[in-house]
Amino acid sequence: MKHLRTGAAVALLALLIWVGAKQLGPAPALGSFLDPAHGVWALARNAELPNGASDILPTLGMSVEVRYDRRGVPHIFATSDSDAYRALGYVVARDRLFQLWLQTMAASGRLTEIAGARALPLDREMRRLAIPWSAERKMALIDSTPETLSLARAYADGINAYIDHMPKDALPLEFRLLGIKKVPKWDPINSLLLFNRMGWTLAYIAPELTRAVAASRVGAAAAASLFPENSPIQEPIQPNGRRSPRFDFVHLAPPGASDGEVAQTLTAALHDFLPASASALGDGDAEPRAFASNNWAVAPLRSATGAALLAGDPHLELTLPSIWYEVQLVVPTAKLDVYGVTIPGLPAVIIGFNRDIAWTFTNTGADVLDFYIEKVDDDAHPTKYLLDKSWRPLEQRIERYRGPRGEILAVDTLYFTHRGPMRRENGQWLSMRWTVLEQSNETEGFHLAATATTVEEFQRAMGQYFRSPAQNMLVADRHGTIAIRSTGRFPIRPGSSSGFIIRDGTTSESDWRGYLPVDFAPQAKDPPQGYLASANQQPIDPKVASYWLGGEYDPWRAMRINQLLRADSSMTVDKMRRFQTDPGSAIADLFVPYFLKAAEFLGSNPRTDIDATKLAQAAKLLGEWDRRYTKESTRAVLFDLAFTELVNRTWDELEAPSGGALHGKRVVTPSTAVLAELLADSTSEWWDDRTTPRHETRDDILAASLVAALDTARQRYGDPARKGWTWSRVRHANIWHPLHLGSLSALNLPIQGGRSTLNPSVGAGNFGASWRMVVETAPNELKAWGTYPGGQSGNPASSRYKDHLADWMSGDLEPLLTPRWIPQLNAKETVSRLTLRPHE
Amino acid sequence: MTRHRSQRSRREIPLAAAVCAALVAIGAWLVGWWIVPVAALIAAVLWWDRPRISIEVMWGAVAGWVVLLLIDSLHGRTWALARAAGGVVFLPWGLLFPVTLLFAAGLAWSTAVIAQTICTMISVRVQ
Repeated sequence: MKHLRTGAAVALLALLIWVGAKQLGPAPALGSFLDPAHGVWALARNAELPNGASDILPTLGMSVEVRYDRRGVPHIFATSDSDAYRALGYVVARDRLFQLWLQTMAASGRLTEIAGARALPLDREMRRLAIPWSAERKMALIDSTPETLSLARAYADGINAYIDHMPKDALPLEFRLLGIKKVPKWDPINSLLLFNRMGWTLAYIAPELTRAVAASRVGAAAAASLFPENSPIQEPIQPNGRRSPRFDFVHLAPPGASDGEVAQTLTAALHDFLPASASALGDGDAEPRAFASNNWAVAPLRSATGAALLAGDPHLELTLPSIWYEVQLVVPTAKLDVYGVTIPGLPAVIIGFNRDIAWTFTNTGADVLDFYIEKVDDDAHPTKYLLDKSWRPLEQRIERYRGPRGEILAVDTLYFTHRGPMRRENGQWLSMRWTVLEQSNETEGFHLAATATTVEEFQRAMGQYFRSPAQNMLVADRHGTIAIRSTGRFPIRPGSSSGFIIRDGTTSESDWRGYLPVDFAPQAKDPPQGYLASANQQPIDPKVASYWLGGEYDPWRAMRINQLLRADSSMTVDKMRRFQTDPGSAIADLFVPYFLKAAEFLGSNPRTDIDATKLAQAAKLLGEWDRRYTKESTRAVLFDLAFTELVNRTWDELEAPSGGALHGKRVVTPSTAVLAELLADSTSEWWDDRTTPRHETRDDILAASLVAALDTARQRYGDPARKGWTWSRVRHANIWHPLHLGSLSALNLPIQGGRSTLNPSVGAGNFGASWRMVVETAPNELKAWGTYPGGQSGNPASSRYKDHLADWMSGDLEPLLTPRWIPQLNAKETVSRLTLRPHE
Repeated sequence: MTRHRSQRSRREIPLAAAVCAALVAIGAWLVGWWIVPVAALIAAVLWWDRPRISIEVMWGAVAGWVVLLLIDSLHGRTWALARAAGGVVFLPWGLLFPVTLLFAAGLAWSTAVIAQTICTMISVRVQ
């Protein structure tokens, strides 16, 4: 017995020392992880802000005082711009160190160094799209711009000072899980990598791919109809003088035969060139990503207080910690006094306000990416490419992908023409030109914008420096001026201005002719209607524009915002706040009557294959819906399912041919605006269900969709009279930690909003309003309210990890404190003090 | 066991455990988690002739880590941390707390058992 006990002890000790000292797969070494003195538990000791703290930041000119308010927002009081940005780097690193590092690794295509070979496709995408290559070129430009370089270096100094002086016990949880004990230093180029990655997120739009894929299924004419150059519903950002949307509906060309070899080849080539898009297309049944955003401003004449009002809520992928970090920078001598949100890693307040102006953005969705078919000297190992009948040397770059232990996992040779990166795909050499990769200096634009005192000054700064991703920049000042302009680089293409074609790379005639001058960009200032609104709709009416911006547009949220703003000439901050989570849906307003009419028609003209009783019941239930996606709604779910059914049944012609890897899946999905256009044509060929012998019409498909939706809803959620149909039980926001760790995420959050509402909720609920802000720009003072889904701290043990989440879910905003000097932030509002000194 | 020896044992139980707890708590601050088997070894060698020394040492190690966890709890939200970090290593509902203590307990008990066995063997040989 004694021997048995000793044997068990030896085995247990060996096991515990082994799991204590060794990292096993994704699990950390348990000894240092569980150690209550220095392990994961130590994070609890560093989770809350201390009452007072100080640190040495040797490159500071003068001491900097930081006061954290009760929302965890640092207010930085410095005596020079560069000191303010140094402190910004420091406080961001203090709260979001892992996020800073992970974003940089992702943007530079180095995730394999964390996750091994399984991250290779993601890294290859970043590097083949030349994100790091471009950042290096931009860095060289910044090197010759002393002001920007100084800010970028100051910011890096701040981050690195925190890394140098960080207590060992404060090492973020994620580093511990990954077995990383030493955090790498921050380099100013990382900021440019992040700007480029933002460009990839927002401006990686290739309509030529979508059309080519569609053409491979239904022919070029039909593809052009399904993916038109202009949105069929027009209520543009630049007001066109109308008081309602214009429906430019035309007859859609019927589905034809596949374009065959050319389209197939092109599709295959582009698919490989754009792996992320390709995978998204391959999963055509899924809901699209919702990189949607809203902003609107109301002129003093339509505001209850007589002050201009501005609201903005950029919609991005929701993550915990959030993409945003709130901060105020105050430098009285430099007239810098700006409050807003920055992206950790960027030395800039991206969206916010100062004492005179407020600004916010939505994405233009413009097509700023083109492809060229190139001819090279050696198909296997090219060194030159043909341009205007002469051979030009190709720039080459070797990319090495390393694993967690530094081992080389893969090596790629990248080639570059004067247009950008070039790759051989499916037997063809394709190069791309993309505005995101071109020289720019957005940092300087944001720096100047932060001190702008009028709308004009803001627009001048952004017009001069902001290049990509092109944004609809809405700005209001305390003089009551409101203005919006689509700002960024929009290519002027040769010949046909459309970006739908792939051009011949052997001639410089195919090259862009330049960029649209900023004065010609879609814009408006103090319009007679008294308000401005943008929500990713087409920026300018094609009947007015002499150029094409291309891209992806969504008219529905803009229609709803305009409807709300038109109806109220006495706007208040609280109304603006409520609009941001308004449950009304323009898409439901348009589609529901069609469903109901179809049910009525089929009721009096029954079809044997549609259950009349079920149809009548479904129509009755849908008719009870007020077309608002409130949390309490018990009917929204029926419309949502019916709409999905309608999309699936209508676009069956776009399903992949049988036998292939994508068998049964829709390869591309036309926009919902095109589906609305199709509603106007009740006998279009597109309504026909190819799997039945009879020829279906619009009402047949609408009715069948409604019945199918009722069946699905009953199956999934039970009886319609029960609580299972309640929208808050059906639709949730899911905010994941970047490492996709459930316990560090906020999941299954009931929210108000649904299909194309101002607070849209689609698919897996991973996208949504990433920051909400309303600003009142009164002549004497700007007042602001805001919130975002998450909290300031990246430490999950902190009370500031997700403390803003409740407000975000309920649609509430918190007042944002903007002290001009330290004493204005009273003791009750101050939870922590930090002093940064240049020396002891 | 005589009455006198029984009384002495009861007096010494807290001493062995307390020494181990103190060594674990201070050592963990200074050097790290592996002080647990070292502290258990020291305590077990000092009191190797006590029949339940492995259990005493085990409770001592647990007490040492409990003290450290209490200090952590005084400064921050260890419960939130247990749920968040525990979930990452598949330990829901705050199970990270008992697992942390079990880890220390296992290390201390097994070390003490081995140390006591070796000491007993040496003692037998010497006699």
